[in-house]
Amino acid sequence: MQKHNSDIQTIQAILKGDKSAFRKLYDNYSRFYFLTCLRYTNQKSDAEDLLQESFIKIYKDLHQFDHTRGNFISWSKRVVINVCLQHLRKKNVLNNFENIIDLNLQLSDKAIGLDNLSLQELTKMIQQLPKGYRTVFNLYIIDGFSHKEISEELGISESTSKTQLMKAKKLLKLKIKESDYSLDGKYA
Amino acid sequence: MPRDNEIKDLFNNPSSLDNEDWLQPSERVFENITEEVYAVPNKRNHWLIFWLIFGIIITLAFFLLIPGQVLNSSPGNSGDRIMNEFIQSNNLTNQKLPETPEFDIPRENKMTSSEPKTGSKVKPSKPSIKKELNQTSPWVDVPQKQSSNHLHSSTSQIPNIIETSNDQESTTIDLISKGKKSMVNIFESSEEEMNVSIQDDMIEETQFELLTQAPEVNRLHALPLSFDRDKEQLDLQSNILEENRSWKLIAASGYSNWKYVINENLLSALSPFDFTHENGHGAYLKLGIAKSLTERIDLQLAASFAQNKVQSGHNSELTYSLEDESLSSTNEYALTMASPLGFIGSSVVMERDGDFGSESIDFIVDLQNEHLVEQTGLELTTRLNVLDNQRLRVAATFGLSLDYLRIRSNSLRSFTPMHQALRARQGSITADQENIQSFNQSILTGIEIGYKFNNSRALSLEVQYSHGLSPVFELDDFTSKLNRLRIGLTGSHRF
Repeated sequence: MQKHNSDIQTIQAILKGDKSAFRKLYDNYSRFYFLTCLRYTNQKSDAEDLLQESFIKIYKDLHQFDHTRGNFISWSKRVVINVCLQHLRKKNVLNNFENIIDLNLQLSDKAIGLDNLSLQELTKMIQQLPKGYRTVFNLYIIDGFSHKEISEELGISESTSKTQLMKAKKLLKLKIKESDYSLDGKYA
Repeated sequence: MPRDNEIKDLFNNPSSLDNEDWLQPSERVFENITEEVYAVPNKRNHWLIFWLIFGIIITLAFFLLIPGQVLNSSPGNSGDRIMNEFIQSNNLTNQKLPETPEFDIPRENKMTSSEPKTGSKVKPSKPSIKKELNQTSPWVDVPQKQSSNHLHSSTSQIPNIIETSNDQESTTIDLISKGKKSMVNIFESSEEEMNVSIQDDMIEETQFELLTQAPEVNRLHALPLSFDRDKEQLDLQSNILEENRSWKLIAASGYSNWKYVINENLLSALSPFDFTHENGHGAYLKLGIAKSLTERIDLQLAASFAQNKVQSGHNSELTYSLEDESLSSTNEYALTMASPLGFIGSSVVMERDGDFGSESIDFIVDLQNEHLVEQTGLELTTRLNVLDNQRLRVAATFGLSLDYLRIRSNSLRSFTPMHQALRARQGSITADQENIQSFNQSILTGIEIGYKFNNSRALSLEVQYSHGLSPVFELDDFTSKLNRLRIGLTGSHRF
């Protein structure tokens, strides 16, 4: 709640033209948004461009933010995700979500330990997923979209979204498992 | 995944990222952001300027075209009345005229043809005229003067009088109600020069504003005055009246060819997929109204409607997976397809017609689409008559057009899988282009070669090129503009 009130004060200051308040907002959230951008694209330079575009959009749309309807981070994260999705549409306008390698993974459903993984390593693994898998995985698992919302955002069917998610999970499990072996030194 | 929530929490906690230095974006990012958001807006709004100019032109056109017609058609407009009187006078001249002039011209006022044609001898004084005009409406009945120098129609009750006077004498001419007949009689009179001089003086010396709107009056003065020239005079009057019909109805129709100009960014993005598109073909219809501003320049306002069909196609790489196969041995794909006007959503179903020998195969599908596009426009053009003789007219046109474009329909003409074991089963468009810029502007230029059947009707061959000023499709840095070429026939009717 304290964070929410602090954000509101910062936003009001920005709207009054306070440049230092905008710097404060950037410092507070740039890493979080950068991480979001990195999840959707596998290039750091692309992620920085998306971060830049996201902050510009946030600034321009700031007057539309209504703090009574939700907190700033939810609103602004949605802006960032939209910018990322728009970027993906532009770069992969004809890349449909079936058009990726098919995996014939035979993995058990047992939980894979994340304890040995750092955020950076996990982010890299997500980045290594094929674009279709990665996008659906990000939207569903991390950003909380439903399959219906994903189908609307990406212009695919719900069943395609589910299929992509299933394959993404399988592939990510495989990568984590490989990573576990690597960390244990067995395959290092 | 059993640990979905764990991953979600890991990526959704901004405060936990403070120590993640690898997530620190370069300082360049913030500099670019501040440059963008705090920059003084110095971009000129070209479209605002365009609309401003367009608005001014429309306004000028309104003032030039509409009020003129209103004035001309006003029942109180004296010029129009006089013109009508002239028309009536033509009929009168065809009637048998009395042997003697109906004018009872006092001897002392008559001028013989040997006298100089100056009219000065009966020159009325301006102050008197002005006073009369100011005090009395020309359409109000004024009592006849009973002066010895009275010049009037012997048959009239003279409801409308223009009265002139000079120092020594007063002259009253029944110009309006009986004036046409009187004028004919003037020409029939052996002393027509004198009488015309009087009339001339009345017009020129009094600068009678109402008469200035009947240009044929002045034109008639240029005629050599003779009894033998009556027919010529009437012909000229007829021609003048035809020419003075400065309004024209325009109707045009023909073939239209649309060229979509896709920018480099979009072409680059589409090139891996062998995107191709043809020029659109269709027809147009145009209805408008034109007014002659001068002998050489017309101003035309027209509404146009065009319908055009364009085809495009490209490849897409798909994967057929046995895992996703339905009971009917099909895979369904949601595809995003490209067109010159943006991206379309589609759904295609591929049917497996054989074994792959593997769980999945990659294949290429060739997609061909057809798009039906409509455009409604408002065009303001200026026509400059380069050549205008008896029958032939060549004109150059320049103008602006404000257009409204809409996609009437998209259709998937064909989708052919490039694999022996697969065949196309079903396909449909699920979403039309979303980023159409419906309102756009063009500049127009063209040429017309016309044949005049008579003074009022003409048929022209029109070739017009319009260059799109604004994109018809825009998505970020992807744009597409539309240039049009029209070839058609234009019919015009002067009224």
